[in-house]
Amino acid sequence: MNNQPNRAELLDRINTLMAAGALPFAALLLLDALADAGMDSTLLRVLDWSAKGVLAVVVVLLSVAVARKAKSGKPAPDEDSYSATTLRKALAASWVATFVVLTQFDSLFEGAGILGVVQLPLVYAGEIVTAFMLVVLSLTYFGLMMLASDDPDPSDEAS
Amino acid sequence: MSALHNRIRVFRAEHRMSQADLARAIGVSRKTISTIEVGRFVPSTVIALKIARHFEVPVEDVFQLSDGE
Repeated sequence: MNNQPNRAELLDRINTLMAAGALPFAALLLLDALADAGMDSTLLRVLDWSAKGVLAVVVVLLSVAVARKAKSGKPAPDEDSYSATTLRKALAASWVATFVVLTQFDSLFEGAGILGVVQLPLVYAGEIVTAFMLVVLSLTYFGLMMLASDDPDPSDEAS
Repeated sequence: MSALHNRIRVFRAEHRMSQADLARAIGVSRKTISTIEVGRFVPSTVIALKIARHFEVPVEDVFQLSDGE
């Protein structure tokens, strides 16, 4: 039996890895903003190296999946899938959420005054908003994928 | 509102195929087949036609549109 994943499975894997990679990337942006703001601790350094490690693993896995997809032949005229549709929905959700945050930026950061970030320089704000966008993208993608999680196909065991 | 019903599970059973077998045969992932079967994912026209062609039946035999109340 051929256990090699087909092109569609590789595309699903690529979508999942991209959504997974968004989380450590968001963590790196947040940690970078915190470091630039002068915060420094052993915990932050450990988290920074952990996020870099996870991101490196994701990038390696993504590169392998992309290389295997490239070897798998010509793309089909239509490569639609549940995973691709879910990623598009997650991208749309992250865009909408980020738009809302940006339009409500002033009031949100007034509320965050208690955290001492009212005087947040624009460069940190950009990193934080980008990180927020990536987190929403990733959580929406995995949330929708989990909603569609199904029991294993009983006929798979028979075949 | 119209709902899209399908008989993929029935056709698979008749042809003794698993979701993975059907997925491989028409070039989609198993997750795509399973989400189409349970009605969570509405397939593109191309995927619907590929499924019908695989079972050698008209697409209307696999997918039916039912009008709700």
